[in-house]
Amino acid sequence: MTAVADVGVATGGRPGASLRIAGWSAVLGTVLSFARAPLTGELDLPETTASPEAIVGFFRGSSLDVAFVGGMVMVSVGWLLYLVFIAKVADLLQTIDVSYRWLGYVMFGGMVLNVGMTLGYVVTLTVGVSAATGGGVGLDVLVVLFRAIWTFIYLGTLVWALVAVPMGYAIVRTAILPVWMGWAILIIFVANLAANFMPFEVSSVTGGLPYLWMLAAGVVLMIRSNRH
Amino acid sequence: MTTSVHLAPSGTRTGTIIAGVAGLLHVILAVIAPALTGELTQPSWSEPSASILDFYQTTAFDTSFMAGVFLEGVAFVVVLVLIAKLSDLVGNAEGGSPWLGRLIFGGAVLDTALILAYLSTLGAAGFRTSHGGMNADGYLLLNDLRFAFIWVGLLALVLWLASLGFAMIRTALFPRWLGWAMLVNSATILIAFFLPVRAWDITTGLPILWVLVIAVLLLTRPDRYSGRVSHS
Repeated sequence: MTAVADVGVATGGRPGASLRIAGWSAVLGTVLSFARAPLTGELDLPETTASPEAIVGFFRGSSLDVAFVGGMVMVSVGWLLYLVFIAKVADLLQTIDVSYRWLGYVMFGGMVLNVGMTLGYVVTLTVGVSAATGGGVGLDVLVVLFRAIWTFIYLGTLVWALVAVPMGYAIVRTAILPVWMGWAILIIFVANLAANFMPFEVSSVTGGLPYLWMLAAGVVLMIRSNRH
Repeated sequence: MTTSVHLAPSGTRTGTIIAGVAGLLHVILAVIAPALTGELTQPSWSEPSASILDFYQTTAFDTSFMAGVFLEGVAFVVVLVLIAKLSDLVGNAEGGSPWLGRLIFGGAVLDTALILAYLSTLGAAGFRTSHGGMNADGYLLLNDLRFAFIWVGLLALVLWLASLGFAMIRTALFPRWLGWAMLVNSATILIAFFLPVRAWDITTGLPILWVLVIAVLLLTRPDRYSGRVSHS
């Protein structure tokens, strides 16, 4: 007689429900990421070459009020929701072809790193505002924190490779999402990398493209969830 | 006829017991360590600079304090063993689909990394104080960083706690009330961001209780949670 473990029986795992959750996570993640910017003063983030006075002015332009804290929570939760989306996409990839499972690990690990970079950005920005508005902290500390913010942004565009490249490759090879989305995420990644060496206005536009890609991917998953 | 044994991919009986012991160790260390570091007395970033400086300049950052910092780090590394096991169990209960399990483990790794960053800033402040001290800028910066790391660490905690709670409700893996309790706890942690700081002390302490319940379940029913069943 075949023994059946009492744990390991699939009682959940409705594919439509998990696809819908993943789709909503990507959409909501994008909405939260875009909606927070006006609340936190990030739209006024000075360029890397900004003067110390401009840096102090930027940090002192915000305060640790409900809007700022809410904005920081929104961007953090938004990126954690992207992790939900990527976990499901990695799962789908494995379902289509188990030989692509390793790519799923790369993109999930890459997204964990990206979330880490985002949280590092949130920490330095929040500490900068806290230090500038609380008083008692010198200019040097604020300049260091400002440099750290930009370091997290640059590192984020680099670490995004671990999500974009395996995702683009997997989509092009397996059509897990529409193939044009595979090419799109690869092009967006290259554009973002190149924008690091271009004027600030360019990088501020290209920086929003990955969010729009996630939004589109979320909508596609939600549409597909209705077929299950 | 005696027993026929099936080992499911969720591991062995020994693995289940190790995971349960890791959970218990986490609970013990997570209770002892904050007592050694005086975690409840540490200042938040909203307190006046004078009281922040007063805390660092009057606290005895002695051996027991540094031991507390180290033990708290161990607590959050050790719990990853339990969570790896839970991720595996969830994957099996989802019919081999690893997405929720992956999410739980990813969130826990992130949470542990941020807790370790928090402990590093606390330890750095303590170390510098006991080796000649720092100027006010250094203390205020480290205090703000310490608080910010634990702040975002709580968001990562919410991710794995909510995912695990959701998995418990979706599957019959653990009692469903436990899943609901974890989901409600996750929501209260998010709300606590907008409440006075000390509200965190209760909401963020509860996950230790859930880990205790899970560890006890694993240790008292290791056959169930290793997929091992007997047929006569």
